Amino acid sequence: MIASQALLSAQDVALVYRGGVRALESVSLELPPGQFVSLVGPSGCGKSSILRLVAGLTAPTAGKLLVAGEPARRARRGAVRLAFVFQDPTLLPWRRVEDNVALPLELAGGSRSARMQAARSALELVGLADFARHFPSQLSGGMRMRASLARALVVQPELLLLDEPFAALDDITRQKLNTELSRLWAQRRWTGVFVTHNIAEAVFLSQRIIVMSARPGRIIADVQVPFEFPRTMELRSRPEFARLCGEVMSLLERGSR
Amino acid sequence: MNRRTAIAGFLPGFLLLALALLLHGCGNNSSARPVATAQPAREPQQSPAPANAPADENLIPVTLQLNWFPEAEHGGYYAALAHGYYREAGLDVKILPGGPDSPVVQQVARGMVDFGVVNADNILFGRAQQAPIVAVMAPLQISPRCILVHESTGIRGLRDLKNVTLAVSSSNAFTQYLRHELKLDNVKIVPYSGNVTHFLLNKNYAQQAYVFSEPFVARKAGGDPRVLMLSEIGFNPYTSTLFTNDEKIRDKPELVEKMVKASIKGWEKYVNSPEKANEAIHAANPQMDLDILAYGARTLEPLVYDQTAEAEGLGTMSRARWQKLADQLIASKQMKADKADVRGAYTTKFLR
Amino acid sequence: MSEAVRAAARAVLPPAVFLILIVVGWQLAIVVWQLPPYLVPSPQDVWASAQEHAADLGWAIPLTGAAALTGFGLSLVCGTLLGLVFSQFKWVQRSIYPYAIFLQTVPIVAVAPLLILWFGYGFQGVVAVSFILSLFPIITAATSGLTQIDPNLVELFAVHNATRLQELLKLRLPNAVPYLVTGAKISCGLAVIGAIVGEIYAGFQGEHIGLGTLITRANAALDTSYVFAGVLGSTLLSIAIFATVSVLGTTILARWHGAAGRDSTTR
Repeated sequence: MIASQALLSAQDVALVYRGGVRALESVSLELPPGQFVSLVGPSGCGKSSILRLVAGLTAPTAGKLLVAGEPARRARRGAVRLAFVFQDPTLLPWRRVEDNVALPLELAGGSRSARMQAARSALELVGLADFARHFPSQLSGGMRMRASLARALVVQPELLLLDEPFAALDDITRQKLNTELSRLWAQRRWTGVFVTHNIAEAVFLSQRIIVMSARPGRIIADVQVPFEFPRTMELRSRPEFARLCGEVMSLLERGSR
Repeated sequence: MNRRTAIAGFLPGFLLLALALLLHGCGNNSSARPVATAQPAREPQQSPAPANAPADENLIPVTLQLNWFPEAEHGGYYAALAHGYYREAGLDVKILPGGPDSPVVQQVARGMVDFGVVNADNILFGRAQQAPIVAVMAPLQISPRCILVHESTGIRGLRDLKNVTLAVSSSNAFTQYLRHELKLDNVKIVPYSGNVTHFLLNKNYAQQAYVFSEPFVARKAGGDPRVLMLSEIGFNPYTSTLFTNDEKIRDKPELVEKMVKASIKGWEKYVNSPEKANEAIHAANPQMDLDILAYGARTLEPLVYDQTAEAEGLGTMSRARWQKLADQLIASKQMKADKADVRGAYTTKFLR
Repeated sequence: MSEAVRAAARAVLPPAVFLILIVVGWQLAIVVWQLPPYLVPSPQDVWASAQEHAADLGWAIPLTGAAALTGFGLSLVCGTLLGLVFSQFKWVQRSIYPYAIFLQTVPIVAVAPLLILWFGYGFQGVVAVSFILSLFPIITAATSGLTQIDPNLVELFAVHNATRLQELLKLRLPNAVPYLVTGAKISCGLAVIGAIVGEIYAGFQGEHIGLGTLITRANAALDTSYVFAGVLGSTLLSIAIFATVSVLGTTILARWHGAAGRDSTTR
């Protein structure tokens, strides 16, 4: 486990894309290790941009962003084990599911038997052990998303970034996967940063919700989610749940004005 | 598209393409590059001044399709045009330049043009495929077709041809005949490139040529070409023959006679004073320089007026010559014996 | 009838019937319009000519085929290599790729003499022409296949610190395979055309001639039946090569199913 310094530390971060689009403006944020936080906000508010900054895929135009005390790109190479779950499952169609899941370990080097074993374990975690030898085209959308999750989990990440992973799924599958994700987090307590449009989803999964304004994105609120873990379906029908959702919703509306 | 439709699509597609290709035609042409140097003219034969030339509206329009770009080998026809002999005969002749793969045989056979110019082998090939074409006049008694070698190889005759690269075109009858008739020891046959560049660069390079063209160009560029005439080994098709189709001969014999007589007059003029004709050729084909054309006209003279033509008149043709050519084409497997039609291939009735 | 027999019938019968219709129509056209042999040969004449020249055709088809396959093979290798260079070095792609179009429109008449100068007459010269004519589709296919990648996949590899080589071998090259299969199908037909045209400029030599020379000679003698027989030969050659490439391509692509419509969201 990492020492209790902040895993993610952003100070006055601004991000301007080429072409002049101001995605983020003076974002300051601190994440302790082992926390599950959601980022919610209107479209274009830069929440996905924050994920990309943390993953080291882009660099901030201004301000400082440190992951485990180092610039994100360097941190990714050694200081912290990072994984990213995209909105699309992004599985390589020419590889079997198990080879897809093993990909991050393959890129890092190491023996084949070790990584196939790790892949199997990851697939078991998400309930896809029986489909290891299938091809992605033979899986349903929900199953592909679970495979994508397995691929993220196979490296045993310390920091897991998720960019609206369940957005394209139907509501039933989505809620099921929410429950699964929550269970997985409860087991390992990695640090999770979850971007979503869906407030109920954010409330269900997180300990903390960060609400962002419309572009250029700024943090307008930081809400604690007091419910206990593990979170179950039953939570969704509780009045406190609805009340918190409403609160977040009105914060959002205020911010988009 | 899946495999089935792909295959189904290919076959008719290719057949249609082949059909189109054939209809577009294949006039086979020996490529000819006229070469000319000045030479004193033979006894000039004056033509009478056109006193009673018919008026413009009474002229009969006639088309004459050439088998290649206008060159010295077409000189007599241009002379007849330039000196007004066609006009005198009541004909408004339009000479249509040809080029590579001009389908002259097909065009004349179908009646799309009135007359054409091809070599005797093309006539025989056409008749073998039931094209109703007939040669009516042969201005060149000796074929200008030759093979160029470097003087330095010491090769003095076609039968001695060996140890060279020989560039000849598959589109010519003489190529097959050469391969059939000559031993060709250690001779590498390659396609003809269309110019003398390789010849100039390589001592062991031999190529096809026309006697009044490439030798001049090669010498001008500093080469040492030696000319080996194909007629020396007996392959001697009538060249630049004037031909038309059966129907015209049957239905309009006077027209054919006028055309033949005026063309003969044109050729007589050309071998004596080619200047005006060469200017007309140069105008029709600016790539052909006047000095090459002048050389060509001079060199053509002995090919037009050999012993036979001196005795029997310019343009004459004999059964024996046609038969010999047919036999050679059959022997070299370019024509089938049962398809050959020598009798129908030519007529001399317009020559007197 | 078993399923296999029925499937075979479904594949073979329609083109066979179509062929019969074409041949009948062809014969009818000749009779109705009285088309003479010096313009169009009849189906029987073509068949007779094919039988008569069976030996020559029997040599010409594999000879031309060998040149075409060699040219095609070279295109695959060089085209893919060029695509690799283009995909790795953007500035090279930007400066050179537009000129690759030249290969698409190259007037072979102008280029052939140069090719002969460099590669010589005979088999190499023919292969050179075949190669030039069939190269372009592979270059485009390879370049597209190696560069048109789901940006998420590229980011996935980046997030896991993949090296450039890893990205190339594990992402870009496999991604390019479906594109290359499509390109190969186009290119193989062009390679056959290229071999036939190439023979006209670089062919002959040796005892046996290819289809290009054969057709040219038949053409010179106005032997339309033989010309058509030659064209028939080249058609069969093209079909054989195309069918082989297609089947191979389909087999390879079996693994890629769903690759074209990238693994995107489903309901």
